[in-house]
Amino acid sequence: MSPCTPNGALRLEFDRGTLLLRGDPSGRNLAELPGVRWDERVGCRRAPARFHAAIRERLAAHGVMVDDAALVTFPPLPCLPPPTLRPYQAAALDAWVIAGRRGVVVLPTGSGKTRVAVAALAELGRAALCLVPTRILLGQWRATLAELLGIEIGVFGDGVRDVRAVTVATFESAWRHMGEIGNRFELLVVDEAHHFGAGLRDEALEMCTAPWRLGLTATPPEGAALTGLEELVGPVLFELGIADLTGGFLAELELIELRLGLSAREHAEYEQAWGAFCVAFDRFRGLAPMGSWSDFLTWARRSAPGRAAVEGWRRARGLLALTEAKNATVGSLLAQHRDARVLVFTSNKEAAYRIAREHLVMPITADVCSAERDEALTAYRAGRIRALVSARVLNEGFDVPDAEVGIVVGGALGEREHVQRIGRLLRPSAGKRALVYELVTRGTAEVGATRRKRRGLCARRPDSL
Amino acid sequence: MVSAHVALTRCSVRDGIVTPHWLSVRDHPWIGELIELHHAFVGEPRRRLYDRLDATPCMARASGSRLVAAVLDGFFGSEIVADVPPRAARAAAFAAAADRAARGGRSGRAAALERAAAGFGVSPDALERSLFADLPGERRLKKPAAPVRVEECVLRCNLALAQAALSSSSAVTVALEGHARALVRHARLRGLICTVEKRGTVAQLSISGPLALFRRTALYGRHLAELVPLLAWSRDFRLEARCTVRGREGRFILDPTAPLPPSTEPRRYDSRLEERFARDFLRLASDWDVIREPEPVAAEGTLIFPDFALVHRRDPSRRWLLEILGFYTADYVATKLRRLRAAGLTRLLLCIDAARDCGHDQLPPDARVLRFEKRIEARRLLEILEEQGARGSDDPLR
Repeated sequence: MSPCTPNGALRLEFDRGTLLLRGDPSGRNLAELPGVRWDERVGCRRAPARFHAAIRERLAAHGVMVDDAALVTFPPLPCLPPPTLRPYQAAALDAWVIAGRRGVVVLPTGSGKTRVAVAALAELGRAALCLVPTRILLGQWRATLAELLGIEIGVFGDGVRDVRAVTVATFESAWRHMGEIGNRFELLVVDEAHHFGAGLRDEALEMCTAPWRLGLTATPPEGAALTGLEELVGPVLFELGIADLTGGFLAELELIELRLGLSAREHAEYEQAWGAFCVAFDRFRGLAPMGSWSDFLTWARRSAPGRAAVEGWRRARGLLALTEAKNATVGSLLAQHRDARVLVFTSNKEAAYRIAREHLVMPITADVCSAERDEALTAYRAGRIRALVSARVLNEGFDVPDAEVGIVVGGALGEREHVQRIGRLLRPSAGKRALVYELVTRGTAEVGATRRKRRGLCARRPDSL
Repeated sequence: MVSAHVALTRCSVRDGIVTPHWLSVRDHPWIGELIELHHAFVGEPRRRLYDRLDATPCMARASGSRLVAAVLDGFFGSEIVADVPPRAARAAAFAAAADRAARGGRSGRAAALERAAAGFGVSPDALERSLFADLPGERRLKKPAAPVRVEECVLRCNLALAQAALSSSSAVTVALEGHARALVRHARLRGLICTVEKRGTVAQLSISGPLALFRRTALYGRHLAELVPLLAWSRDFRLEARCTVRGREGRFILDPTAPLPPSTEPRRYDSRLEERFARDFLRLASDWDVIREPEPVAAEGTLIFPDFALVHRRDPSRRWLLEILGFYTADYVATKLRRLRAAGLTRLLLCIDAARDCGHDQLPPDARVLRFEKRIEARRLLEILEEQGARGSDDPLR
């Protein structure tokens, strides 16, 4: 037992994202504590940091004295002004509080998820860490929190390490550094929470002691990923979809599908490339009806026809990303909506750059540094540039209340990506009617894919309002 | 840094064993071709080289060609060549395009470019060429600083391959003879848990991160991969890890037969603080030798790695071990003292950074401690040694 531990007490220490349980109160079976295992490497018990509250609770129930050195949190926050909430935001917050301040709120993009988080923070009045997926969102959250709460906000990410009572961090920074800062906060807010639960970067949530957790997303995961998310953040407590709020709290949406053709050259190239892929893929399906895409790639790599099939799939997708007709249509639509602010979404960076060159549209991609992105977004909001084009960076959390027209040239990530993209256009303003063009190539795999990805736009719970 | 995804194209998993397919002399001809091809594209935008590589037969034929291309990218490097700084060119061109007067199809585009170019005093063509000259594919391939040798390229690829395999692992075990300290030091510096056992002349190291007890995680993979270049300094070694290659898990083994490049010699000192102390002490204490990284001490089934041994030249029995602690806990110090006692060693001095003192923890009363701020006072330390020598105390810890 540590020399500092009072007699008979169990000492809890935070150790790089885990808890060390030092001491051995007699007659207690510590192995039954949630998440606890014996760690032979250091000769004491250890648990992931997220079990801190549960361990404390169990020990208290068993009357074990605890010397808790694990938490090094900030003092309670001064009385913070709660933001004004719309009825559905207030309902979401109530659901979260009633559920013990652990759980996920599902609201469409543009409906004010950040405001729910700020209200949760003000209601609780404790040190909070807000996790966001991108550097753009890092800046946006910092500005919003500072404006609504009126306090200095810390930042952990994008080269900055400034930890304060309310701090915003990128997922990546949190994943790398939660071992250093994971015991400093009592509330964990996870924006775009659907990124967690499937294993990738889940450690960021495992390594934090915060007992209270709020997840925010427009597109909750399904299956095992949802189970994982529920374990790390809590269950889905409140859920509304785009269709539940459009025309009221979200802008009216008009979706126009433009079916375009391929040129003779493109058609021949597509048929050849896609045909090669289909032959091999059908053969694989015959051999392994339940095989995954990854299994197919492994299988295909072993033979020349298989490799040609994968190459054909890649070529077909590359071709559909920006066909001649799509490119010409983008030009026409940009000209047609010359007075509106337009967002163009592509399936890959190459297509984004081609549009950027040919139509002089500012690209927002991972290659563009954060300072330039910020400048571009400011110019866009101020109306000094008219359009932005992006493959993925604009998919999530990008706040442009004035964007009115969207042109979806292509997508690679299905329903979730589509919902997020449409959401960019739905932030309401007086008399706003969002217009989204989907460019779909006739007679190709895009037709079915477009139909599938639109499912996410329906109402989630028509009676939940 | 070569991405693990690219490097692992040269790895396979069979019967639970991860097999790295090392590049070897057999691969020299096609790698030589790729090097020549790179030379031919020096000064050109890299995308042209990439297009050409796509059409090169050996790229499709040879497994690992993407890995070699990625490593060659590092050898050659790239630079931005533009008449106008690209970021400024973009800001001007897109703003001009947004202006109502410059809108309307191709002619509007031309007018926008013309207007933006005028602001920089260059032609519209020059401005257009500059627009995206900083993109990875548009950067120009640079001439390498030194000739690129096939052998060196092969070794670098193999190193990338071994590191890529380890980057997916949560824990490694290493059995090695000699130079264990470099690995232990690296592991601890990176916040990993390193346990050491001595088995004859072999040190058995188990290295993992705290969370590895509960789940497979890639959280520590990067730091574990950094161990690879340090292994070459040991007389013999065998590293084992559980790795995941394209979703399949297997055992990865690395030993001296792996064709890896010799690493640079591990740094003699961990920090400027240590280096300065050694210099100060040698200058002051002409009767004492300072031995950096003395032999590890076997104690209670583990190894302790003191930072220095200070040995009196005329009386070698006056031999002290010195350890510099930047950060410590009372438990850590107590355990260390207990182990040293168990090993029959008592002459240990601890130098503790006062600025990083763990406040609430009290040191064990029997610890011989010299606190320092920024610099270890060599004179004070020498006084302690001389004082102990004059007392003839065998156990200053007592």
